[in-house]
Amino acid sequence: MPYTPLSDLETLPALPRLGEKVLGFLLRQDDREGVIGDFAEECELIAGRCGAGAARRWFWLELLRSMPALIILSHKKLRRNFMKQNNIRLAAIGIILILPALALCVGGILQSGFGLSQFNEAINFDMLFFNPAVLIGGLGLAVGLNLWPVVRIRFQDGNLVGTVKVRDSVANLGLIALISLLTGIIFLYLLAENLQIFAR
Amino acid sequence: MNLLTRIEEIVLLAVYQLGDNAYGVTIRQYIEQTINQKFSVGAIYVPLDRLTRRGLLTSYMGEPTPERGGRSKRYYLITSEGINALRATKEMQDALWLGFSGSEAPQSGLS
Repeated sequence: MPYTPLSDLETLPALPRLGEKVLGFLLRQDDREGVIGDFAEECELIAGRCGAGAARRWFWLELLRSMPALIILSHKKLRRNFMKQNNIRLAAIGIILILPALALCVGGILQSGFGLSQFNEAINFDMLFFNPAVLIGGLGLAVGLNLWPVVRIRFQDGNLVGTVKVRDSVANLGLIALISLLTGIIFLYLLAENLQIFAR
Repeated sequence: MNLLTRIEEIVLLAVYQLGDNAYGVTIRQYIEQTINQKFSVGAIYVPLDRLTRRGLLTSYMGEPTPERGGRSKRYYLITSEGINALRATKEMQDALWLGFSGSEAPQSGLS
């Protein structure tokens, strides 16, 4: 249907300006017209029955009650719009973030499994690249970025329900699996070093 | 077909019953009047969004009105998939509720 904006004379100030701004901030573009209009319509109904003060009180209380749902709605839409184009991009960012851990694991396997000691001598944990904070931070960030589009947790009939989205998420799931493998290897390597399993 | 959650079923039925006049305000009012359950203005949009994404509802923007401060309404219409989902839900519930008399539970339903 064609949209014809009404003139200023035909629009009525139905909502507090601050409230309207809060709603505008919380909502995405395509939801603003419908949701803010609903608030305005109900305010008008209540103002007609019980006065402007009651309508204003109702509005602020209803805004507070609606906030969690509106945040969830906007977050879901933001994630959907983001994910359509960026699943692969998130996986690519994840691979870059786990490069230090990947290099450490490959070098460690070569050194431990095949006695190639050059890499082990080259590792200097004072180097930024192999700093534990960089290793763990990179792994944590990568797994968080790639879990976000894949795992969904919601309340359903009073229960917390979690689902894992598999379709169109192969890259993300693959990276999560790789991160789990790397974390396991690093953990085993540290354990072996502490227990001196590879000591000669 | 994925099962409908309880809230999805309620919202879908409300849209079905309201026909051409299903938008946020009327859907909330219908649910409150019919089952005495209040939803916040924002809460009704989460299941509406989910149902639209699943193809069980479609939506379009209507004309702006003065009582809404010159803003348009977002109308919702049930699709044929939505009607099929309601039909399947009703058949499932009828099968599950069969034999319920409101008295004590039967000894064993398994043979």
